[in-house]
Amino acid sequence: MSTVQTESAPEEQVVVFNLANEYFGVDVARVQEIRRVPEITHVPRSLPYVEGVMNLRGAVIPVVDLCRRFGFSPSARTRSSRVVILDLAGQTVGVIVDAVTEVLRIPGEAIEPPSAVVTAEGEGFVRGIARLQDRLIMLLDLDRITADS
Amino acid sequence: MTAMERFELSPEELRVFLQEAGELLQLLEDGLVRLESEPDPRETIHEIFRAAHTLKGSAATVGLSGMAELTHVMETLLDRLRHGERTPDRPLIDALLAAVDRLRLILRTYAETPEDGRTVGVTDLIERLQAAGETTSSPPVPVPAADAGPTAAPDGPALQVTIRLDAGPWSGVRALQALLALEALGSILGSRPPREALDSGAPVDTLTVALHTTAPPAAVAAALERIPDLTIEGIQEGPGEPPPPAGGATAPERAGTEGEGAASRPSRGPAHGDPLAQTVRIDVARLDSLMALVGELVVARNRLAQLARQVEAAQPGAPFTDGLAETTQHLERVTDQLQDEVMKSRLLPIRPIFQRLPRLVRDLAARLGKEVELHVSGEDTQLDRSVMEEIADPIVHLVRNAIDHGIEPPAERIKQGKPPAGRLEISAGQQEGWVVVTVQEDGRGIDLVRVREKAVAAGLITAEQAARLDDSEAVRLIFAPGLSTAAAVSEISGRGVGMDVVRSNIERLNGSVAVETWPGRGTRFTLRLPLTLAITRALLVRVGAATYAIPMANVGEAVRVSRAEIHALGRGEAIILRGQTVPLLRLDRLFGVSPSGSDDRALVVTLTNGSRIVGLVVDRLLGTQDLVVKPLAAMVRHLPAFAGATTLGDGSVALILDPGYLDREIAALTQGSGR
Repeated sequence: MSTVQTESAPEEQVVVFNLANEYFGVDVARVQEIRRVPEITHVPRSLPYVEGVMNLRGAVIPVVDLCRRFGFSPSARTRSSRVVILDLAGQTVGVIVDAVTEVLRIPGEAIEPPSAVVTAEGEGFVRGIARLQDRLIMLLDLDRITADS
Repeated sequence: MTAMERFELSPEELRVFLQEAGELLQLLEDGLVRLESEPDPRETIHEIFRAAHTLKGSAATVGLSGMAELTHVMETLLDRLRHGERTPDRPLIDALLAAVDRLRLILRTYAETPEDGRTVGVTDLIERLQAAGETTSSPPVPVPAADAGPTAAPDGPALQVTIRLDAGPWSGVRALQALLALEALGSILGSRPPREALDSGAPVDTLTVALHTTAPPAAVAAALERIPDLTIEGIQEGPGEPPPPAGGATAPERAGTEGEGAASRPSRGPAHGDPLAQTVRIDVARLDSLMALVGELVVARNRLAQLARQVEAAQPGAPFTDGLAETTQHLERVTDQLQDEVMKSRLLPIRPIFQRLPRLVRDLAARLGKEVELHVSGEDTQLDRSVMEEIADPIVHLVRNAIDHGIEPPAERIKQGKPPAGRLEISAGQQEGWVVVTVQEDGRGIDLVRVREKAVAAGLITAEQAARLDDSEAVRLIFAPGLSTAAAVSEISGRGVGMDVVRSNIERLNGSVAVETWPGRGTRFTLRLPLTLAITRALLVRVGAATYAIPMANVGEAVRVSRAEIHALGRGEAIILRGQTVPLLRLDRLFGVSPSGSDDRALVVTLTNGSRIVGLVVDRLLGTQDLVVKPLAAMVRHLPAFAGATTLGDGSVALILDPGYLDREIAALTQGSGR
């Protein structure tokens, strides 16, 4: 009932999206905007996880297929598919997700470091896992997405 | 203000000083080279004498005593030429040009570290100049050992400075500030309104000052620019007397001749004279962003035009379609004009690059024992500044090449019934939105037999391939990396690094380079450059479901061929076009896009690319369009296939093909069998 709270782990605000039936969260401050999937131009001979390039109000930006990046089997485009436009170390990059579900405030104590729960494929991309009532949200380390492995 | 303090220039003053001094040196150099060939050099001598004199003053004001000493000796020597006491012969001009080089060195060093600039030695050159001056019968004129003082110039120029003050309560104060600033630079002979009137703080709208100073006009301008709320109307060398009663910028007779001198100089920055009061200086970054915005507008306009056509097609005769079409057309016209104007605002004449050539040609010819007659035309041809920065080196390289490899020594030329002096023509001009620069000489021509041999020796092609090449193909081998045809590797044109660099530099600009050669009669290089880098004209082609853009600089023609006309060549294919073998590249296979429709007939777009002609098999031509070239993001930039991307009218993205990459792919395919 009281407002007393320990501030040891700060609260985080994340954009939650769905990809291959799992939930992922990215820091809301890194999200520029969320759009419907536009026409994407394939770039021959690029990295396998680069879906192509798209037109973002006149700028040409790369689009990453996160399924391929994480080694999941690719999911089909649906009406709920979206491109999340992210600011990755000064570079604007779009990532395709199956659906964007919500923006959540996650209390710091609900976040566990990834060592506690190891995900097989997404290793290294996950910087923490948030446990909320009925589900787990994997918090992504965005800068790893563009880093070449 | 002490003397030392005066030497500490602000970055802006330094910039102005360096620019001004650089221009004066250029003027000196041009004039000296001209002296050798002019029948009546009096005018030129006068001009370079003045340049040396002004330079001396500038050097002294910034404390470059070495530079001041050297220019003083030059000035003395030039003064003797001016009075006919000495004729301008080769040793004298050589010595003067060597002095110009040393002055450049001082300037460059000074720009880096002012302290070091003051330590560059000049004694050897002073001795050389004095020796060169003494070789004629007339008695030597004693030369003072050192001279730097502002009072040294016997006729220290008087400047007439005209300043317009913004209306308002501050105008009187600003005028007084201006007067004080000018006073610090020299002595004021008089002003209008006079000083006493200014002390009252009454409003002033124009201030005219006669100033006796050794500071260059640029330094005067710099001092005044620090004062707010005023505009410099003019700074002119004028009579050393108080300003005439009439207000505004007056131009006494003497100023008229000065104006002529200035007109032959390259365009310059801040206000110096009359017409320049109409110009503003603008940050290049701002021009760049203006250009980018216009690019966006062009894309939006294309999109709108497309929508208007769709509306018309879907509902012919629907209400408002007429108005929509009309408005779209109007918008198109206005956007075109706007694009044109913005592009023009970024253009500079090619003159500064051409200005370097007479000296270069003279020195090279002397070193190689050749005689060269240089003809330069089209110096006023304008280019985008971004293009300008990139083409100086290629042009200089072609000129070196022409003198080193093209033009024969005089004895050889005479034997062949040619005049002993080779003719080197360099011209620039505009053709249909392109800037074309040609470098042509009447020398020996390129020895194609030798080129073939060299290419085989260097492992670029096999002997059979060499034999199959026709002359137009063989001549393009000179652009291949690692091929030099000089009989002996000379220090002038380097060791086989050169023509390939020229080619890649030009291609990076979306331009092209072509070469024609006539045995015994000479060689011509033609550079085609886009007016601007930001917007380029391109051919859009469809391959499978993808649209690609090809820079028009490289597009030759489009031809339809039947399957029977396609032959095997190495691991690849080729067609014969007017007797010439054109290797083919199938983009669908190269890029792994869904294969094109029918295999019976193929549509081939030929690309000329300096070293060869290649054919690109495409499905459909979508027409040409002005494209705004957008850089590719870092994530996809490492791909060599694409020079950039662009957004099309329907909002989709098309990739711009890099012709150099296609060329390399073809080379790999067609040489597969040869090796």
